[in-house]
Amino acid sequence: MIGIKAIGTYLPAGRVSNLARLEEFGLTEASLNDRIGFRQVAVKGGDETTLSLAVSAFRNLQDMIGLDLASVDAVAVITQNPDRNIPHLSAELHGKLALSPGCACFDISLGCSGYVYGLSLLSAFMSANGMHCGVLVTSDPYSGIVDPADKNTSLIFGDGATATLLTEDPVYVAGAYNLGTMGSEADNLACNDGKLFMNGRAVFNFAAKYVPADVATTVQKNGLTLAEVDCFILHQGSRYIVDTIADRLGVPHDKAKFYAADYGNTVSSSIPIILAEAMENKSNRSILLSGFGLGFSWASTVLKRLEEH
Amino acid sequence: MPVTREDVLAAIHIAKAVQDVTKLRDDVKLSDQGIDSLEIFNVLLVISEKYDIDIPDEDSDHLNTIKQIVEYLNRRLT
Repeated sequence: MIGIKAIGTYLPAGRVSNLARLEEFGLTEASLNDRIGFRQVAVKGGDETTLSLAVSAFRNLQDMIGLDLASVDAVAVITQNPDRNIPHLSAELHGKLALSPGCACFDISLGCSGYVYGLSLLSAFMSANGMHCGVLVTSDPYSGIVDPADKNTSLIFGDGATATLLTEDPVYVAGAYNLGTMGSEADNLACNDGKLFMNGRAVFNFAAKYVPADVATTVQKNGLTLAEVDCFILHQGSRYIVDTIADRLGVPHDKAKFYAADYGNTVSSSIPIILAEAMENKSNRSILLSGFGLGFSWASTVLKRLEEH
Repeated sequence: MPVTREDVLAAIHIAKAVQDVTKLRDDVKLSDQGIDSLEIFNVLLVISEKYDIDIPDEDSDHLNTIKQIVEYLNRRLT
């Protein structure tokens, strides 16, 4: 059975302090901490690219487990901010890492729901094609499309990348998924003329209304109750969104934490950055993953830790 | 049955927007009584779900006080 073996991560060293911008946006420190939640956001350096972030996450994965690059059968990259539109970033990553000619590569165009969609897509693709080793990469830096003067977005998004190894010898396997889209609302979070636009109220309403129902359905599909889930990893849209979803589910905040105060909302990297650490805790036998956002799409699943681990 | 200020206070309580809703004044902007914009979004969502109505942005922009919300709901629900 294909599942998650390990996750490499990369956060660029650069940070923009939101604390230093309180006066600019008429905020208090309490509202920054308790509502937005991000005290600072990670920003890639001037010499870093979407590709280089992906390479750094991949190298981190290699360092962790000594991955033999020749054994990689497939690479999928989730991004909507590639360095250029053509060719696909996964092919560039393939070239940069000198992967095998027999390694299949494709990109997935999704945002904050992308990691969970990607887990389903890549594991199904590998199963369908008899593959044994795949890597799911997220690298979607928003620093290039965020207007620094836009209060709705510039305090939120951070740059980061991850690389998740999927093998037939996993630590966690995904159960049933629940996925959906409210495309009629998609214009409320979109990139227009190269700049990100977000209708905060529409995004909040979407997250508060649809995500708790999605999470509850996913947990039920996996034969569990909410109380039986050890850890809820919710996409880190903002602290207030994470707390509101937890409240609406009736899940204690210590099981559905806000983790991203020091690096921001890293879009599709948001969940795997947290999961990489959560995997180290053996008491996390069941982990709920919930991605939601762009396209007003959502995707959830429950990961179960295999007994031998 | 008309919507009352108590109904709106109940929504504010559900949204956890303030510790003690009894101290809120009807004719003072919620934003001047310690309720920020995200919490107002949450209050309006609770209300829209309770009464099964959509509150568009052009309406919510004018819902700044408890009194305005009560009057708005009574207009919409009659």
